[in-house]
Amino acid sequence: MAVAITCSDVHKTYGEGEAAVEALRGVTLEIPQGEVAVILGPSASGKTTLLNQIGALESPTHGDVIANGVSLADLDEKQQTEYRLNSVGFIFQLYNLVPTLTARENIGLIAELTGSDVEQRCDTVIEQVSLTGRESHFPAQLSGGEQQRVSVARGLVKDPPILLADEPTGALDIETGTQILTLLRNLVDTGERTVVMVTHNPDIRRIAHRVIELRDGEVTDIREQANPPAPADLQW
Amino acid sequence: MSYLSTKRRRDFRASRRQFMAVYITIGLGILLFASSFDAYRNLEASYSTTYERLAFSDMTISGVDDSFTTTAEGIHGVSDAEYRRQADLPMRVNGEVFFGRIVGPAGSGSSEINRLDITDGSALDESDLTGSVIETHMATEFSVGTGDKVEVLGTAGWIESTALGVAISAEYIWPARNRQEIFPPPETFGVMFVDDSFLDQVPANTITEQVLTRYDSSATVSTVDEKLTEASTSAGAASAIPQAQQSSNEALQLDVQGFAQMSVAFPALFLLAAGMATFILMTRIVFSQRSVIGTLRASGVSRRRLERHYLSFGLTAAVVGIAIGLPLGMLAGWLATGAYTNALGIPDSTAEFHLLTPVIGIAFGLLTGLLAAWVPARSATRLSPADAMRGEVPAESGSRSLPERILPPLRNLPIRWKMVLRGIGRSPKRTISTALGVALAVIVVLVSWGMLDSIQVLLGDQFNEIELQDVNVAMAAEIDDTTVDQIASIEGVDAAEPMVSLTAAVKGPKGTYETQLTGLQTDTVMHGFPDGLPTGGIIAGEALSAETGVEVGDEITVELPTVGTSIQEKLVGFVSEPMGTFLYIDNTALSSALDAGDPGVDGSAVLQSPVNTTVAARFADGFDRDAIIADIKKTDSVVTVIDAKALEQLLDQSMSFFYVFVGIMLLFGGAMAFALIFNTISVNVAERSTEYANMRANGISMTTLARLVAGENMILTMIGIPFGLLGGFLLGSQFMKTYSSDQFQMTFSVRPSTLILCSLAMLVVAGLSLIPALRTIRRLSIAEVVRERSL
Repeated sequence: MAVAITCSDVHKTYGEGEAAVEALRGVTLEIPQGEVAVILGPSASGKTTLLNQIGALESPTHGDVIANGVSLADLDEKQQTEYRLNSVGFIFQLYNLVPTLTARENIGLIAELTGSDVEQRCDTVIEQVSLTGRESHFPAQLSGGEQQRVSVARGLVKDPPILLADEPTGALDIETGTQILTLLRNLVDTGERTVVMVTHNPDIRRIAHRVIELRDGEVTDIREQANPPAPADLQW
Repeated sequence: MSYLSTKRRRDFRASRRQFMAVYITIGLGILLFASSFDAYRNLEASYSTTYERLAFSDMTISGVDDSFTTTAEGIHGVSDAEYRRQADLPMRVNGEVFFGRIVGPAGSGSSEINRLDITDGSALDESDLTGSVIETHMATEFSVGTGDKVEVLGTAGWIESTALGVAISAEYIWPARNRQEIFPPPETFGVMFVDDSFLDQVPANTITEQVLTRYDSSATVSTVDEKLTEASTSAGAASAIPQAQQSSNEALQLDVQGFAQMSVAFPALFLLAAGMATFILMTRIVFSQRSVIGTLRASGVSRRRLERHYLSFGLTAAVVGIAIGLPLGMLAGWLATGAYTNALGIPDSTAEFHLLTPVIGIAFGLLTGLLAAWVPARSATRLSPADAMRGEVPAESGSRSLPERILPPLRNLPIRWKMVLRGIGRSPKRTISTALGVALAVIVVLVSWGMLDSIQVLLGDQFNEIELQDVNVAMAAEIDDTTVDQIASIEGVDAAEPMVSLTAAVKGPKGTYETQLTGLQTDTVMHGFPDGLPTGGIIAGEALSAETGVEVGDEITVELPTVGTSIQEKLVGFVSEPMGTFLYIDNTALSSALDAGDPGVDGSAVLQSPVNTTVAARFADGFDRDAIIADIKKTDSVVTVIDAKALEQLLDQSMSFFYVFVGIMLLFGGAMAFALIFNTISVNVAERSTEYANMRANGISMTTLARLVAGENMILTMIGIPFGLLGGFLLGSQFMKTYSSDQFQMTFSVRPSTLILCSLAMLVVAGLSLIPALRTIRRLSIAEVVRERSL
């Protein structure tokens, strides 16, 4: 299977001198295309920092990340933006929706930037995330789960090969969280997408094809899981 | 120092740029207040000192003889009354001829009223009855000093006088010829003080008799004014001018009024804007510190202490603003007083420390800061500790924007445009504050700029629509068809016609009004009338109605003291003219009216007398004005040529002051708008940083984001601009109304280009104030921000 993401000796240091904090210390890993990869670890282990490197939200201090065939280490700001627009979709714990736009408009805002047939693409992803009938509501009128679905749809509408999800169920109850995980899993099962998910919830690891454990900025374990169960079968 | 104080200090540091904007706006408001209020008080004190020292006449009654002094002194409140004579007639200095004025001393011997302040040489001397004292403006304009010769056109030709000295007179601090001619060009007017016997040698019909009065210091001025006016009317006086309406004083008071108005209106606008900037900032600070407030409340900090804590932000901002603005304002006021009194030659320049200035300045500054911080401080105390500690932000409800609801097709706009439209309604209070702030800034700029426009429009109307002659030619010979033709035949002269000008007084039910009666041909091309000059009856400046109570259709009596008679004519209409309130009559009708009056007066002789009549001339285009004037001067019997366009040129030249004023106001107004827009954008960006970072994470470029932010704030600015233009027009009109009198009919006129430039200036300021915010967005750490919920 083709490799979607390769991290080679990725280091990330914040601050300088005595105040310097080394968040990643030589992370090296590969994530094949069409997998759900879960990054696990305790607080401050470097999970989100690693996700940020893969999403080109930050540049590594040392080493390189190659995602969707793009080497991210030396991208300038414009190239990073272009990469994020074409190659990755983000899903955040706190949804970060624009409160003045309806669900459909939040999705369409991104769709407008990535080509024509905006309405058709919006319809498709709205259906995909089961938001049909709720799309003209504003975020404040939606439940947490619905808002996260909008967030997923917003990430999907660009049709990116890689989806990066940072604690996507962190603010949700179990039932809603399960629905979101099912949705993410379906995206992988029905297409060639790669989903990288950061979580501190060890139960969620079971639905992943690959589990990457981090501690103090270093990879402590990478495990492949054949035929992981559906999220609905999880007990968490 | 308490920990809350430390927190406040650090909060200030965290929002230092936003607070800097507040300091500057409060500082500008206080600066404008202190400078204009001090200048106003200093000017009042300066005039008052000079008037008191020189015993400036409290009321001047013209057209009465010596015996009226006894009547005046018999009125309760009048401490002194003195008689004098003065005459308006041609004068010659170093070959230059102009229409000047010689003034005899009040009373016998040295004047006790309207004393002169001798600045060079000596006062009048009884041993040299041909000696004179030159008024300082004339001395400067014609370079006349002690020992120089000045000639006056007397009954038997030119009479020579030697200047004994130069003096300042309270009557001529502003060298106005009379209430109708406030701005005589300097080269056309001069005043010389002579012994009374000197006036025996000039034509009797050039002489005006006057009684000057001084009041007891304890007298109520308005009461004595009223009684003296009544007595002078009974005595048949041509006019009774109280000090407040004396031509020089009234002109100077326009400036004093200007400073007084400025000390209220402009600072109020700035402090209002500062208040809004503080309110926006404090609301944001309180909102972002919800969890801190919750924790403090949960830890036992009382509501009152918390309220005091947040009020102290407003108070501190005000104190810093006052500390910047007050000393600078008082210094500017002192400098302005000095520059002004120096430019006008006011002998007593009083630049005092007025305790009231800092007291009012501090009070209003503090009030601004406290009121602006009060609402956010109150909201801080009302937060539920439990809710606030959770740091949860109440869900922001979304809705379609007003334009989308009014115009449904707008719902089909690209989503990012809709986002811009809806962003405006996200925080209505902030939107209103910002739009209002922009409006206030536009008001400041438009009122200042509009004043410049108004004066230029006024000059344009006066000299292109009303006074159409290029010159008035004064002659020594009778003015008849031959003399007029003589002028008309000079190369470059397009038209010439006689123009009569007589000192006049109109009596009406409300009082007597001193003015000038101008006689013209019915088909005159020297003066513009909307409906032409009627063949019968008098038309008058519209202020005459308010001054005297006469109305169109009334039969009015016009006293002509220099002719020694009066005429009865029907008032057939009013004209609206920007400068002066004159009477106009057709020459033929005037001659007939004079014939019909006093049997001893010959109408045609009056009209032909060079004392009363000049030849007005218009020049053809394409000729050299100076050459034509030189040719006219060479003509027989020509005494002098008065350039009617000189005043326009003089006023045009003095516009530089206004350009500086408008420039400063543009700068101040721009700073005010910048401060408000900058604070609004900063707060918006801080509040929406998560959204922006998220959009950036999803691949929206910085350019697109900058367009969204700029679009929203530009629309906000554009919402404020029309309100500002309207407000500016209304305030400017109100300002002009207070300046308007019988001497000036000021209307607030704004050129379309000014409206456009004002609006553009605001958009530029809005654009500039975006720069720091966009830099902040560019520097946002997307990775950090998307992980946090922005408060």
